[in-house]
Amino acid sequence: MPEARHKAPPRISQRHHDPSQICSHSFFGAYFAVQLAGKNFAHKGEYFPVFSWSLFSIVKNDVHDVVVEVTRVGDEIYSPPRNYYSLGEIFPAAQRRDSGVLKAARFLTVSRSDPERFAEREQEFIASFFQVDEEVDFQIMVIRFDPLERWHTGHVTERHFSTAHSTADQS
Amino acid sequence: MIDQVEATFRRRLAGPCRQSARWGEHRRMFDAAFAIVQVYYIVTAMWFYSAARSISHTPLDPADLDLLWPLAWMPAFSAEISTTILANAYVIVGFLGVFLWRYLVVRVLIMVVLLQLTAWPNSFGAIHHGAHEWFWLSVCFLFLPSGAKEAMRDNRRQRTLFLYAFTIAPALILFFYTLSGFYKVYYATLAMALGGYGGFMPDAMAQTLARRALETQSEPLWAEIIINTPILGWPLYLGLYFVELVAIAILFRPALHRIWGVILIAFHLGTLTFMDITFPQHILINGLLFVMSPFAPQVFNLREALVAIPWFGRFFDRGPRRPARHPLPAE
Repeated sequence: MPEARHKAPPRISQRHHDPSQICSHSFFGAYFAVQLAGKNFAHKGEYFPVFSWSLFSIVKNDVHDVVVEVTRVGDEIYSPPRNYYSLGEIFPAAQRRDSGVLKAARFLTVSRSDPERFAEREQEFIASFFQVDEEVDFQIMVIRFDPLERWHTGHVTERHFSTAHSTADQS
Repeated sequence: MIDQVEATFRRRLAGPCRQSARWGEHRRMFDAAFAIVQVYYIVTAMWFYSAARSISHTPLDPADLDLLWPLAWMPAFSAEISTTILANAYVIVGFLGVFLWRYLVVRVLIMVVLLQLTAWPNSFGAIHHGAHEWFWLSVCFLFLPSGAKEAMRDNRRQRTLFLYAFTIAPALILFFYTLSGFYKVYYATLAMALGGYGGFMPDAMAQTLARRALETQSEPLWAEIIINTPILGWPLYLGLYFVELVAIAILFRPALHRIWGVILIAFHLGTLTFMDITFPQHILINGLLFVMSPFAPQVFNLREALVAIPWFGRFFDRGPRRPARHPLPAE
């Protein structure tokens, strides 16, 4: 029996609780508690960097969401407005399909009732995603749709205006 | 008390894979785990290296951004000074980590600077999660004992402590996947119980892919296949729920480490091909911790792996089982 050569030592954890063992158990417990609190109470869904890893957890066929639409860049007026992500040649975040634009737009939309907070987030939103040489006007629309239906037919059940913004106001 | 809870927890999650401690293999496991940690700190240095360049050339003024708490110190300095401080920290700490990671103080420094690096791209109004796991690995590695490699390798207690502490890293990563799976299954079950639409529906994957593609106006390579034939996505989605939900049990089933590593890498390839979402760090993490797992059997045994599959393994557990041929390495 080759295993006989390897006599097992007494289990470390039974002799005394090693600090690393106790710390690691506390670590997992603390992580679980903080991610749960962050998911339910933090305005960005997490107390950074403790994330719940709840990604694409809720699947719906009746979606309410926001769309960021650009109405003017410099002298060029877009009529009808262009989806932010279709202007990859102007906005780097659109080029890399950064979903952070939509997440930030959602945060901005829900803070409309607090003018001070809204102004602060609007400034951060523009600084993060609209840093271009020319002035940009854009609007955030709220839409309701069935994703598969919209994919195949383009049909949107509801569409209404939420907020309008201009980078000129920030300069 | 802790021992009893842990033993019960481990017994339940290990299922049929109740293995002995495999003391004779601990030197091999130690060498493999040590190499993995070494690679982690080299890759971290590489990442710091490229981040140092991008932060020192950023056109953004930190004062205008929605800075996360680790970067709250930046507005106290001018944009040029604060980004220069960060760039220097990346270069110096990343370099130290390559050859001094065995010392706790260096690992703490790496963790602190990684937190800064992770916070920066998430300070633009929204939080992404591509770098979170890599940061959390630096926290897990704080539990590693400090000291010279040979001294740790030749001391049974140190070796055991190193392996125990190392195990926290794969445990946490698998815990993350289980959390992800738990929330998916929870919301899908809730929707089903309430008679609404949810993640168990046959076209759930198609709905998710269509929504994502419409949101970001992206054109993922394979999304149209599922969107045009939604039923094809059903087994994939249910399979993903299962793979994620039971992930933590895989920690205690070494026969599945490599398989789950490959499946999780395939999942992240899927997030690119179906959703145009990339998680490059996660491919590396799953490769290092699971495909190269120090605890995986040295010789793959398909029957042993099939029997170890949570919940479904019992269907393969028929007839006398051949003993796994795990060669015992020379001490």
